[in-house]
Amino acid sequence: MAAMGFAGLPAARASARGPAGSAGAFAASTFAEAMAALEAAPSPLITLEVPAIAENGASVPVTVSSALPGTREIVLLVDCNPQPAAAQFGFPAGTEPFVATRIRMAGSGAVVAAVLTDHGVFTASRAVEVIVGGCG
Amino acid sequence: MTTISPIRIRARLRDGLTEVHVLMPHPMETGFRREAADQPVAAAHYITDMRVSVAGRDVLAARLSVAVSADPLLTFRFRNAQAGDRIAVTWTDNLGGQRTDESLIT
Repeated sequence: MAAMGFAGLPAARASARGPAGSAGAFAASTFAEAMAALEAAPSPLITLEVPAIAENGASVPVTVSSALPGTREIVLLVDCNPQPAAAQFGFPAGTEPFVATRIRMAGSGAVVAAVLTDHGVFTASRAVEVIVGGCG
Repeated sequence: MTTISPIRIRARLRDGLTEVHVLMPHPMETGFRREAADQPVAAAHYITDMRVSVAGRDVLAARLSVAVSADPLLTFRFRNAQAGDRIAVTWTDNLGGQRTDESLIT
């Protein structure tokens, strides 16, 4: 993913509270690297809705909202995908820290929502059992 | 490049909150997929960035990857808009393609 011009991990670490804070997670090629770049702590103030069982990994509905103060960005990650970061959403002032979309999952695994706030990075994780993987 | 259909945008204002549904027709080709076992891998072709603005003010900026389903669908909500305001959605893909479409908040 470096070919896409995203910043590397050290830059992301330095700017975790800035507008480009999720770049490191996007640049990461493994789930562990992406999570390390985010330096996140779990939070019950994040609502992450995914199906427990998804018949088709090509289209898994995901809804995330954050009750954390100072939420700036939400990053969606999938631990079993070839590239862990699936999407990143930035919320300017006036936009609710909420997003719903559909993502691909290569197989059964965890969907993680990482929420970047003025006070650090927080996560919520849910397991999804995928019947037919969605990357083929 | 194949012609890509217009972005579909539905934005409804209710109790001060505008809820937006955006559907961006796009193949979101992963670069891993083959049409058939004896065919080469189809080249990656996917939306990398999208931006939504209302009356020139950004209300959402997103970065997508091949892990977003084909024909990406997004729902989000924002404040401080009025019925009749113009809402514009722009996407850019990894092959330099771009599309912008507009709608009105109802």
